Amino acid sequence: MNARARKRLFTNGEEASFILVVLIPTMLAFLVIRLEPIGETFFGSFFNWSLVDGLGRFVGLKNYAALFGDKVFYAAFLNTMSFTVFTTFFSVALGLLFAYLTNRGIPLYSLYETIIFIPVVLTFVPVCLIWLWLFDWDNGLINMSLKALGLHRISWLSTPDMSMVSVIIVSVWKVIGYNMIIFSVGLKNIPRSYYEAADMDGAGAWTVFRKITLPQLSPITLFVMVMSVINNLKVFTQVYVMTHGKQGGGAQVDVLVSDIYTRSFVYYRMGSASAESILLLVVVLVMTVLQFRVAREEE
Amino acid sequence: MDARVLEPHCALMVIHGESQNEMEEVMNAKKFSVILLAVLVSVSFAWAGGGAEQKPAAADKPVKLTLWSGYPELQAWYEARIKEFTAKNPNISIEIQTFALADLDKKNGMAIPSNTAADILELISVQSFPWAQKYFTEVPADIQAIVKGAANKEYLHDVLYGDKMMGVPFCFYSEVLYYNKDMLAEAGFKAPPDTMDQLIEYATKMTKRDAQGVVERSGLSMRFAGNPSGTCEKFWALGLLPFGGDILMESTASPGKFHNGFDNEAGYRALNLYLDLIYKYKVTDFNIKQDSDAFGQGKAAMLEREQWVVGTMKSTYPTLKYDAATMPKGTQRATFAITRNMFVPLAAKEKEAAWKFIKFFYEKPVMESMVRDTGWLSTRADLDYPTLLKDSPQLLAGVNTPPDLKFVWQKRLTVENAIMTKIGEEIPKLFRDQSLFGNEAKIREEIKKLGETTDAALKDAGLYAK
Repeated sequence: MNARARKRLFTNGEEASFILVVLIPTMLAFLVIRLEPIGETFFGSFFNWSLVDGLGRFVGLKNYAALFGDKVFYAAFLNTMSFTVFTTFFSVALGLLFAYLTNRGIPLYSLYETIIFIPVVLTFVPVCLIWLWLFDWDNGLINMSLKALGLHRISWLSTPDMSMVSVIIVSVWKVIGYNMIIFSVGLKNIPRSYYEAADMDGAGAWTVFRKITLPQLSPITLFVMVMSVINNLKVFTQVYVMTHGKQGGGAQVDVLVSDIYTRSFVYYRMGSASAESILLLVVVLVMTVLQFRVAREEE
Repeated sequence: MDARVLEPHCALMVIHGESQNEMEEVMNAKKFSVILLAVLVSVSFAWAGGGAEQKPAAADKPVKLTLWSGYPELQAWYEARIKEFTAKNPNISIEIQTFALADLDKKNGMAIPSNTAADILELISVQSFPWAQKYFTEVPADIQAIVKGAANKEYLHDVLYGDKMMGVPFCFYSEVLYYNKDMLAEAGFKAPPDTMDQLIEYATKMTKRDAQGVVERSGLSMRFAGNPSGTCEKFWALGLLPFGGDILMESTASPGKFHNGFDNEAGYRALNLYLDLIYKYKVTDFNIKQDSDAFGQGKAAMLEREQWVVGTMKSTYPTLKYDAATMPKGTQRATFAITRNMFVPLAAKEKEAAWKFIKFFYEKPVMESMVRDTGWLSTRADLDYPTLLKDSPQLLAGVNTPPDLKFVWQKRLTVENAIMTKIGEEIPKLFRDQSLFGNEAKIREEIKKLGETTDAALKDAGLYAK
């Protein structure tokens, strides 16, 4: 088939039909697996709906209003936000730092990359359990090391605030490697000639980083930030494993997803859980749009 | 004759030019074969039907059941009992799946209303209340008769809804006080604490601190975290019940309706006791390990817990010298009683086989094995406990109860588990709030708020009356 024939095949209606046919299965799957449950959740959020008794009476916006008067929801919301801010900041900053360091041609850099990346591929639940042992007050490796050094032991999981700090540490440790690899790809794609020119102009390392590396990485940074914020807003596994249901002194931390889970499958209040799910969806959308706006303005 | 309308082999004969007589012979032979086959089939069906009257085919059909339990530590024991059952019933296979108690609760929340739960559910009472009347089958009459004949009557409380029995309560547990015998002697005590004042005194004396005053060993292990419903249970038994409080109380004016049972003097004294133990007597702290592991490892001198602790100590800390006593007395001596029960969901496909297993499970030898091997007490009244418990005398504290001990039961409400979970989530936050310590007005205010939350849940369910 020559170029002219190919051009004729993908023009106007034919091209549109082909694209449509190819996309229909994916779009159908997306509709059924993603949009339909969101629609049902939205619908259910207007009902007094219990898992035990089924869909009850229509209550309008009462489930939403009740959430705004619920201190557990506020605590969960604030915890989610602080978790998102700190985890995103540290995981992006450290991911970028490690990518920068391993891209400077240091010996054995691929070994360092592998070591930093390993947590990404580990299953999160056992990892959280191992961290629980590390954080243990009496027998944990961290406190035992502090004690051996003559320092005070730290109550890693004994207060809600410290529980949150511990969860953030684990979350950052888990995701740094992923961010590092993405930044690493971005760094490798920056033309060497820019650095050579800057070098000839006598620019210092910090100036080069600020004026060349960071602007060149901005699309990558936007991607990493957006994905980090979305993933962090949905935090659940580490919070649940490390602070919920743990026998002993662990203080419980509530985040939006754990609160949704509790409302659904402990209190069986599906209407309330649906409303909270919709609010989380709105928060995620708003945060994502905001980030795109900020990035565009910077461009 | 048109070869196209003949059977293939006849057509072949035509093609090969064979005679019409030969063809008729073949056709007759074929008719005979068909008639013979029909007669044989009819005789076979008649024979099979006659046999079914003597031995139903369905009885031998392979049946596969699934059982869910909230006690992973009992997996091996369950498997051994299932093996005994399947030896007698080779057509029934049972798969036991165990989950942590709190996880099973959540799993049930998804599985029961969507009709995807196991064929047999082993649930503690409070987990069953939301589902029992609407989603489970009534116990067959013959099994009801067996259970009612063998069990202590009071243990039927949690499965009886009017005249309907919705599950088989095979096991019961209550709260007792475990104590380390060596530590008790070391502190100069000869017997376990019998009153709440003594409990404080003993706990204070048995607490061990390092040079900086940091607690190294709790005088009394306290529940600050874990499954919230369980945290509430502990507060109920150690805090509320000794002072005459309860989680829920039935309205005297409107029977069948309830209100919180702790926005009162008992509630204040309960929370105040916890705060005093933490901040005044400092018998434990939030950092140190709590619960059965702490007790087993010698990091707690006393522990308020249920009978399963005995099984755990036997398997994990076999050298520990300990014993158990009835819960200390405040204004009254009381403990809660909860049963573990077997249920068959309405959606179960093989109900008959499921009940057959439950019937086997409640037989005396199986219950004796449970008491002897696992440290859980049976609801059967006809077991010889002193003989069964000769290796686990600690369990006798749950059996040989003093006459003044009051057993308090849950109220079988659909929202009860949710209420206990809510209290269990909120109460540890109050324990951690040091500003409450010694501040009576603030303690009462927090108790009132918690009471209002409880009453609101009852109102939502249409179960509230003052």
